[in-house]
Amino acid sequence: MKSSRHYPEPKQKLTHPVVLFADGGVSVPMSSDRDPFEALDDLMTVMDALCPEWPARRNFGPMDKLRL
Amino acid sequence: MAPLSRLGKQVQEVLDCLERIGVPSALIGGLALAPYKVIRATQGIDLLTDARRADAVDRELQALGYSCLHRSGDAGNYVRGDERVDLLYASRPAALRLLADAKSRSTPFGTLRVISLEGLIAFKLQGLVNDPSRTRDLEDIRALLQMNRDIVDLDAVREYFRLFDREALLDEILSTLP
Repeated sequence: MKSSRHYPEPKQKLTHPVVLFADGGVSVPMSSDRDPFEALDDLMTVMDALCPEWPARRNFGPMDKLRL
Repeated sequence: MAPLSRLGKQVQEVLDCLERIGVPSALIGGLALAPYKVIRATQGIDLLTDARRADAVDRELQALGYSCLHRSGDAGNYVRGDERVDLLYASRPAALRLLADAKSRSTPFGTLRVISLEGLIAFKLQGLVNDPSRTRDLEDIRALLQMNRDIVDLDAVREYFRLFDREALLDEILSTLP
């Protein structure tokens, strides 16, 4: 069934695609003046809030080509 | 200073413990991507340690409450609740050299050692070659090369790809980098 809702037309056409979700193919350069592990820890703090219990992690799979 | 994330606290605890017993270790895996400008969420800790100290590491991790899920001469998987520590044991010359050459970094989790950029790519490649379903490793290699194109030692990287008979894959990745 078609929606009867009407959305207003934007006054100006967008010249670039709108990103509707995070990391939607867009590269965001890291700030060079930040400690990368601090940035990672901030990200993991957000992950803790969103995912308080981590899903089970895979064990190492087959390891018959260890050359290092 | 803000309190650390769960992963941050876990890293701090495990690395303090290894430091206390004098076992050399270096971050590999998702955590090691950070100093090379690739930040992504990661679960658990991946460490390279000396195979000759595997028994000592096993004792210490069990004392911290971890259970061993799997252990072989090459690798060990440990779990505590939903927290994981996965170990690769360095025993061959290449891995022992990468472990010895890992650089110390001061971080919010304390001082820790991180494997070189080229070594990290090599371990990601080894993971991918052993289990081609690990597409995350391929994406990590691509991101590491893209973000570090000005500093990466491509000759060394190529040597690792040659070691795994995957030079064509490296060429393909390089040709498609934006």
